[in-house]
Amino acid sequence: MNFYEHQDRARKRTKVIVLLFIVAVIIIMGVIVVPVGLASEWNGGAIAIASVCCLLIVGISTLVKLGQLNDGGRVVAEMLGGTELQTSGRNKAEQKVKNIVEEMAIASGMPVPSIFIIEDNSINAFAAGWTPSDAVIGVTRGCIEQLNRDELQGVIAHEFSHISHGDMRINIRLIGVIFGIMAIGITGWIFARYIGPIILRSSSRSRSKEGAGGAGIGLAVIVFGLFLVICGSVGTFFGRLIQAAVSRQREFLADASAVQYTRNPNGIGSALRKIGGIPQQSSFSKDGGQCNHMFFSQAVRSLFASHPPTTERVARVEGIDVASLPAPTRVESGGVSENISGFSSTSVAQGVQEASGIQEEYVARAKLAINNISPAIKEALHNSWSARLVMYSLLINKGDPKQHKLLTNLLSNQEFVELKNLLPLVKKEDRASRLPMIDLAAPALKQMSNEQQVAFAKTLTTLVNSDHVYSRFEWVLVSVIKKHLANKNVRADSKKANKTLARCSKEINVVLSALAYSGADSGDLASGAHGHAWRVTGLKEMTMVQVNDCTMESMQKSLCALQSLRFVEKQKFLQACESCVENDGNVTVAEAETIRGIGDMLDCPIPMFGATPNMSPQ
Amino acid sequence: MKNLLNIEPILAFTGLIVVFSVVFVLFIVIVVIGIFNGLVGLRNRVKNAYAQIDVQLKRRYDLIPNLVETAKGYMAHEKETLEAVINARNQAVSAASTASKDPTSAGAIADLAGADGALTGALGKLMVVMEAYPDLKANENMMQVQEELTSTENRVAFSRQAYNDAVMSYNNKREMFPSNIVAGMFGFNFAQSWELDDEAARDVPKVSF
Repeated sequence: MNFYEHQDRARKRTKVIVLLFIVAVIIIMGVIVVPVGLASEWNGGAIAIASVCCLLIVGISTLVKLGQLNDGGRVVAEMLGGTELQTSGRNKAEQKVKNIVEEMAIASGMPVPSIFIIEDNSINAFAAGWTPSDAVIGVTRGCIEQLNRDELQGVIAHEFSHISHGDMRINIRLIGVIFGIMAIGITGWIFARYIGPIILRSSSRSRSKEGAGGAGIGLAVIVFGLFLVICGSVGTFFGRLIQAAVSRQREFLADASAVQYTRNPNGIGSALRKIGGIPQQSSFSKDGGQCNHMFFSQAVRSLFASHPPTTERVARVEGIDVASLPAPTRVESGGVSENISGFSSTSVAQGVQEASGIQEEYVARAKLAINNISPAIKEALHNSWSARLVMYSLLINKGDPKQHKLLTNLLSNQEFVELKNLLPLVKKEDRASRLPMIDLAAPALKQMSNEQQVAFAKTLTTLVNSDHVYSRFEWVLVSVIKKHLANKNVRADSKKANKTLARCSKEINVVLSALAYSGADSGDLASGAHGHAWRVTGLKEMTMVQVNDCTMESMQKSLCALQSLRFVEKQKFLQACESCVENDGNVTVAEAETIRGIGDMLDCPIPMFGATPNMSPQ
Repeated sequence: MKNLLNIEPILAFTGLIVVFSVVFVLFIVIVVIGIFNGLVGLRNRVKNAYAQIDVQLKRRYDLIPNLVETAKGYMAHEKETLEAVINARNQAVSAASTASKDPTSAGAIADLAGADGALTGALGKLMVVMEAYPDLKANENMMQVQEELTSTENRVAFSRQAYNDAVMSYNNKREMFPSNIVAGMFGFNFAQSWELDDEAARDVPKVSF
């Protein structure tokens, strides 16, 4: 399995969640309806009323919760009380986690995710978001301080695997669904704890005849509330069951991927041992209930563990027998009490075959690529004020008087001075470092307020338009940055990915034609490349679009439509794009960048090294 | 059979009341939870936006002793001006550490804005005095520190703008109906935007000969 198959599978898995959800709701309704039916001698009206109430509670609260999570990973991280890691890392531990995340992101061709720190001494981590563009990684203070670099790298690799396997999106859906199921209990609790007692108190004050009636109502409300709480515990039971069913296998897969990404089973293995050996009470248990399944290790203990037992995970990662492991110093979580042999036991080797995405040598190369960028620029990229200026410098043609004049109007004096300092440094950088620079800037750029982001996007567009030539790199830069910043358009991106290539042939033709024209010197060569690319898709070739119709706007529009392709089809499409640019025998940096830009638009991170969209290991 | 028929309208009536009360309470509860979480999210955004300023402020405050140390060697007669800078800096440092504990406390932010404004004023005075010492102005170290100071100040200004935007959306939500009711119930306090004290920031001291 590769990235694309995982993404499609993750989307199918959402259907499983929906199915489990429906089953759970039916059972809860049964639990509520049967007593109501008995009490009312099976009166149709009463039963209907009870079921409607039940459906309303679950339905509305699921929708409300999902609506809140719409903004993506940032909201989840903030809900859990995370503070964004400030990019000029103040201490060594913070710098360490920042470096690891950057290396891993550049290696996988993703924008660097924002990092959130949760002030908690237990060792834990999570990834949240809808797409790689809005993904965030959360780590606890204990995680970055108690783990050494190898261990931390294992944990971060585990979280990256959740991003690239599409688990995050399942997780966010799960939060919504579980909240909905648990809402009945919450409503009951509010009736029993607040509303009933309030009625009781107000009636005891009045001391009249009505007061006695009020007391009766108050007691009835409390009893009713308690009844709902009992029904709600059934909901909680099923919520946990769904959590456990969906997330356990994903955890094994993520552990296996972490070994593959880092090629170091000791890293994640010893991180898991640390967690197993030093059980700590975590303090974020209040909100953690709905989010159990997101974490690296279980945040809240419960009968139905969302994570496999740590001993089992260690055994699989290190390729040893569970029995040979010493017993953990304390029972780590409810999970241990369960029958360990009940799991289908896939070995790590098998897991590695299934997993794919980041290769260990990519991480090493990414580290080199980051080190090659000059420290002054790196520093600038970590701050929103100067990161903007680096992005501007990437668009500036040296010695263009028109742009110079434009910039003096657009920028403040200090910005202009800083830009002048940065410009020669940026121009000195290797061409191949340009995209990593954009990806490294992502967290800093996301820290801008909405107003600042709008102004920034406006300046970028003005710069691009200033020379009346819309180069490929300009297109890549602007579309990648806009994709990174488009928090509000997340909804559009998370729409269904279910179309086939055949249904989008018009859009495909536009992109392939544009790629063919821009890569070839003559019309013949272009149509050759175009034809070659079509053969890769396996569809009937279409006639090339006229040169004049291949505008950046039409390309942008086509790519937006292609976002709804199934992921396996996206892979085919990207392979077609690739064969289009390499038809002439060489792939230039500009062409590789364009492919990366297209991948970014389609939510398919493409590792920069080798720039091939086919990411399966062999 | 007859008995049941008689009960039915009563059952239907109480049933309706139950439905209405449950749906009503549920509606209110969900709206309140939604607003509450929205407010928490915005307040956390304010905190995160403050953390951005905080990093830059710390950098700025760390640079100042270096600047003063360099200046001391050249302008021994300007002890008062230098001391004023150091005092203002120390006050700003303590105001910043109070503010970073609770960035949503209006008082702490106002204090910090004041202390930082005073520091800017004191620095401005020092710069004017420095005009009289061409050797100092040409000093390599001095030039470097000054350059870094300016660059840091720009970053502070930019993150301050992001912070004020975050504060505005939080305060707007806090004051608008119906979220103002929830904000009042759960004690969501007014957040202070970082206003530049115009007098202090822009009052360039006059040079007296």
